[in-house]
Amino acid sequence: MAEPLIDLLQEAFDRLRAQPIHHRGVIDALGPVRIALDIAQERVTIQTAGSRIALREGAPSDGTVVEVRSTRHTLHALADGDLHLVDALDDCSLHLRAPPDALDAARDAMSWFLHGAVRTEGFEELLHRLVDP
Amino acid sequence: MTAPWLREALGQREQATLAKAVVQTDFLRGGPRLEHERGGWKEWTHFVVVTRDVRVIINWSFTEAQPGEGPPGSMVPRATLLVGDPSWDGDVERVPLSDAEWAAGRVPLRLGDHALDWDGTAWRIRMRCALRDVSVDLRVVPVTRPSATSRLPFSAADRVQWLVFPRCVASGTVHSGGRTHRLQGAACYHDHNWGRFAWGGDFAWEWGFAVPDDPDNPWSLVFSRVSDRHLARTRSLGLFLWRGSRYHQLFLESQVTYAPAGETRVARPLCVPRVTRLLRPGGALGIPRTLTVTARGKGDHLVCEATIEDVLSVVIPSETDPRGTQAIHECDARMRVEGRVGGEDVSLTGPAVLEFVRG
Repeated sequence: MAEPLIDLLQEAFDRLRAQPIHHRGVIDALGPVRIALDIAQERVTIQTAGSRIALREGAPSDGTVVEVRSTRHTLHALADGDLHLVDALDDCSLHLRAPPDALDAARDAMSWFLHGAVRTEGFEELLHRLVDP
Repeated sequence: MTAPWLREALGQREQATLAKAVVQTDFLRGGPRLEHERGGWKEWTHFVVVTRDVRVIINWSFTEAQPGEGPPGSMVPRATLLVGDPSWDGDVERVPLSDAEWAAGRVPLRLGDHALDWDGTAWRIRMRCALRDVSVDLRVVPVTRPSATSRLPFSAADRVQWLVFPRCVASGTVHSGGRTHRLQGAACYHDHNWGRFAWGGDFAWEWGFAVPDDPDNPWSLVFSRVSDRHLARTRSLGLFLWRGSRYHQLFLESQVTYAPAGETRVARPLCVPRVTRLLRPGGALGIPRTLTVTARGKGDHLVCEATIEDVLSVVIPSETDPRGTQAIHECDARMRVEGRVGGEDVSLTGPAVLEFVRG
């Protein structure tokens, strides 16, 4: 049985703490924006809480929100380089909906996250667990 | 029938010389833990196998840990195995120190399921990617003597040592994506590099080797250029030519001209580690379509013309910019070499692998 998405995300952000500049970069870039993930019916909200990146199950009830709807396999294919972001949006395997400023904040936060991830041990294995329990 | 030069290179006397050269020069300089003040230590040992049907890029690297990667002075080992037959597959794997064995002053090493050994005559290479269906089991015999170690100027303070065995012969198996290739006497290049520098610093290198299609042809060559990261100022330029197992001629600096032209565009080349494709969505940029390297000196002249056919990128996080990367673009190419050096005609047509570092 696949690990819950929220547990994998929590482990990813915990590991990111090994790169404090990048961890801080995610928090500063995201600011008040909330990311609402709907990954094949698994709903997780990513938001900042002071110096923490907080995760909770379910959709946010208020605030500025970036909605992301997709599947685990699409997220894995994007991160694994098998699928281009433009193609995923084009073939509707990835849906994004947000005000432009919020989308830009999420893109900036994602950039900090990825640059931290490639500098941190264990992310490839974590990514693999997204689709292969 | 084996060519005279190869018969000599594989003969008992020359093999004893080559074995001595490996043991005396090709040992690892750094161990798992360093004690020094400067930081920035890097070391890697590299093999490239080229045949008509398959290309293999093998690399074991040791990088001094950056903050967050490990204790100061500890090393981060990585193994890279990439196979093109013709499309590329493979990976760069970071291996925990607890699953790695190597020692300063010795040739053998093991990083997880990736092992390099020296059996007194040949390197034994066994590698298996953890998450991809890619593996190799190779025996690589040197048939050229190594270059004298070159000190490449990556910056005013940083020099990187470079030791080259331009031509070896590889036998064994290469497996990728359900296909197994059996190699016998395939052309193989090997080098070994070590020194201190920071990825993301003000440098770029461009390097390549060529071996002939015809195994009877005794010529092989290597060239290198080191410049600032914008490619505006050349710091070092060299072309090294071997005939048979022996070093034949060296051309340096003003004896060498270097002329890239055009641009190679490959739709979505393989980028490893794979997640880095999101960090460099533009793919491989700034790769020439052709490269002409010419050398002249004291009655010698040599013209080397390479045409690039394919590219893959190894992306490395910058150590100077938290959101920067530097890419090593590995390029499959064909090279044609003509000229006259040391009173002998030189002619070579065959596969080449070129490498371009871009910020």
